[in-house]
Amino acid sequence: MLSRFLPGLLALVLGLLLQACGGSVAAPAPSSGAASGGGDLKQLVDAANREGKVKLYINSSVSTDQWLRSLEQAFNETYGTKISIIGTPGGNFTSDTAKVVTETSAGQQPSWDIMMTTDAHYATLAKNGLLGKTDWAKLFGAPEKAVLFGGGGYTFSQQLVTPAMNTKLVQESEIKSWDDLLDPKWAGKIGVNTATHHWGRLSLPWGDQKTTAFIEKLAAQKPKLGATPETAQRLELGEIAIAATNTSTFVYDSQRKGAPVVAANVEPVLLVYNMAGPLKGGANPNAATLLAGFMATKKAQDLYEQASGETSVFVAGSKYNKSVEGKQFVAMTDDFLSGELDTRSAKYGKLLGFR
Amino acid sequence: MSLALRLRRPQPGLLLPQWEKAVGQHGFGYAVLAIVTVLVGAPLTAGLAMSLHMGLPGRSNTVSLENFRTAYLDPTLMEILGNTFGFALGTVLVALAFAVPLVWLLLRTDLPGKNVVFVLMIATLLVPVFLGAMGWILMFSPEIGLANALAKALFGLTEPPFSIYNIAGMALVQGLALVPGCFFMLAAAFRAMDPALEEASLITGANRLKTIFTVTLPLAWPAIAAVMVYMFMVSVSLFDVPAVIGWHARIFVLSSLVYFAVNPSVGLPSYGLAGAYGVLMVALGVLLAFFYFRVARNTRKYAVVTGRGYRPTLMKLGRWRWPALGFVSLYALLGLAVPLLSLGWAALLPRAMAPSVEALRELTLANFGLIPQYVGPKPFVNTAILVLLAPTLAVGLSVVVSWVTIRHQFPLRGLLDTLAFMPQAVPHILIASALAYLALIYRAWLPIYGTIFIIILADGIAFLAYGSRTLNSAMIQLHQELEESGRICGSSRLQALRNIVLPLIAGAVLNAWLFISLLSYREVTAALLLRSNENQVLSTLLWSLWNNGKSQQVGALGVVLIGVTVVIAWAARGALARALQTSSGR
Repeated sequence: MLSRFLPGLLALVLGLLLQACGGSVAAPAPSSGAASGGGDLKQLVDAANREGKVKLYINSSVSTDQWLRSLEQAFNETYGTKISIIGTPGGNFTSDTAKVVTETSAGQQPSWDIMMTTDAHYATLAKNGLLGKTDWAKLFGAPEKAVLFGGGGYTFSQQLVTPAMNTKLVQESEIKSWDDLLDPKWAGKIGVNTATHHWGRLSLPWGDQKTTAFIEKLAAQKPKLGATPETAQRLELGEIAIAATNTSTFVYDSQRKGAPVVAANVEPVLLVYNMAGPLKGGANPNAATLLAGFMATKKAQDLYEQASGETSVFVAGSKYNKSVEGKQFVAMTDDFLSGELDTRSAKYGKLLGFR
Repeated sequence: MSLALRLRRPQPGLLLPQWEKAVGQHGFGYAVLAIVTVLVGAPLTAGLAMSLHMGLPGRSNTVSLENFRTAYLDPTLMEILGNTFGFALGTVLVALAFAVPLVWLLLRTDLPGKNVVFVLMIATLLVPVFLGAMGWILMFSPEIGLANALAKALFGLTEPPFSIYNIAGMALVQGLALVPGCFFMLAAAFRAMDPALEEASLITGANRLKTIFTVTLPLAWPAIAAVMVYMFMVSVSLFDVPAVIGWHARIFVLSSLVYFAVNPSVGLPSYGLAGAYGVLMVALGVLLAFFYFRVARNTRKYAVVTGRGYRPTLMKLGRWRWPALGFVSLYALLGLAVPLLSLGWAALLPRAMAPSVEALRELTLANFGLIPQYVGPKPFVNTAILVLLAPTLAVGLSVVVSWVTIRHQFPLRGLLDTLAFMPQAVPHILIASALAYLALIYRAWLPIYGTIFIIILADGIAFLAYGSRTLNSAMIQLHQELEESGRICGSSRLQALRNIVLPLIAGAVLNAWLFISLLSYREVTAALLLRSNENQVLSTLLWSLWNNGKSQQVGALGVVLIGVTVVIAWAARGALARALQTSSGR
């Protein structure tokens, strides 16, 4: 009996698999519909309350259970709602972005209603049609400059990126510009991490040619390569004297723990945008929109600063707004994020020694 | 009537084609092959099919060789393959150099303090490898290593004498981390040996060393070959040590390329490119599986568990007791103390610090108090389900695969064994992404996407290679006569499996189950890709914390988990030993 069906069964299985892997692009799962695409906040709040929960993906450096409960409480107090925030600490933004793209390609709901990741990952979401359109400025008072991807999301805070150094090994005055990294005395003492998009961002004001020349000289310094958290840890330990780029998240964390780490005072300061916006096709689109908008409020900004030390350069009077005052900083544009950032970052990564 | 009877009971080979006859005879084997083909073949085929497409699964219809061009025309590929080979070979040699003597000393001799080493070995399996690697950096980094600082102070050296940043250093760290795995794989084979064979050698005038080399090791050869093949593939696919130690010195291996393919700085992962690299791994896996199958096919040569009863006796070490203790202490220092102390060091400090008097002044328990802030109960519950069910699936399947492969004259046993080995040859990230996609599109038939069960399935498939290698080694040692006698007494084949084979290999089954359970606890690659809000496990939580620079929290949580495990393992050691003893062929 088995003999009759076995070859056919195997052929069927293989056929299904091959079809599955080479299948055509399915349209993203239809959104169950946010109540507001720029409309009434009250209507949105009611619809969100009916949904009763929201699945949030957020950077694990802030998403402790305790912090999520504080966020939930503040969120519900603000809008008079009873909405549970189910949080997933972000592990790998790239593969998790790919995960939701794959899910929606297969006609399924994304695993999360809202992903608070970076502008680069939002560019991927935008390219794959996973962002909607909301009037963040009108509904929630978000700064106009903070809105990206045609209203698909907005940046509620940023990471400032500069070189950082271990003050036991390097004087603050020794690194005053990006070019100071090229001083031969730092050969073999610099760490470069896998976040090569930092160099891609630098190329926005500098242009590709100047950045390429800079990266080639930096590569000649034989920097130590490593993943981002390890590079930060090696800087704390003093195994490397300078991290060629480090985010304010890691610098803040190191300083909070008492490590001798400071950010270099260089220009331009690079910005990585922390973004908020609902995913199209999510199970709870209204609650996701409301939570994303909530991040623009003073209450949420304070909570986020408390956990990460980060604020928004676009919010007048905020810590970062003051720290970049009078300085050149690199604000991202939709076009650059969706276009050249990928290819340039990959190119600079290869020049530095990453494969 | 007579014609009808003849039609109902045809002469064998007269009316049925040969292949149908074979299927009738080996129906169980074909059924097992079908199950393994679906479970392993599905993600494997899907993973390899990805290599023929650009972009994410399901996003492109166009078949292309672009991924292979990118992968194989890379001018640095040969150098990277050389690094990979050196690293994998070195890792296997280090692991076996410690594991083989250890398994003999701990299981076949009267060495004191065996339980402590055994329990600590289990504990080290719970130390995240990246933290253990950081421990080695704290000791042997040219810039901050304690050993280098001491050597420079003691001998007035100007240059640091040690560096962990080379292939030998990577192989040492990885090899030591794999010793417990090798130990569990080898344990059953060593435990089942009839001591009469060694006694006969001693009586005929051979000394202990000669007996080990001419009797003990040759009898354990299939198990050692299984460990070599399996651990070689494990070393090719492992990512942690090459990333933490290798990248720093610009030493890349094949797994680094897979990592970069699926973790670009920006944009989407290229699973297709990872799949193209995976093809190389599969080719290597097939080659190794072929080598192993050649060793394993001559089962009668290695059958030491026969119908003749024998009593287990421990070899008295006598004056070799102290050198043996010295060897075990060396392993305890390198393989157990470094990872455990580095975990404890991370847990007790407010930040990453090299060992120093200043660091000792800053010791704190504050990291333990923070645990409830970032871990709720769900990851614990999910992890408990995972570590119970994933090994049960993998071992259950491994038992039948090994039984068919080793004990039956099943014509496709080579294919079955190779298929069972393949999950180790394919990067786990590919298995996971293929499974995720298949589970997504066939969600209506099998609603496991986003649940803990998809991680259980992924781990069950991924660790089938480990389970089947371990159980193959145990099955090889059983003489055919045991099952035959059962069948003569009227048992069916399945009854013989249940009543004769399984009780005799219970020790190996338990070993494999325990080790796969620990591997499932530690596995992070597939779990990360398959996770959702509902199925978070501790390994993904630890990885997320590590990835955000929270190594102190990782250390604190790791210490707590190890504490719990050590207490359980210590309490269970008596029962475990009894279970293993009763299954040693007596």
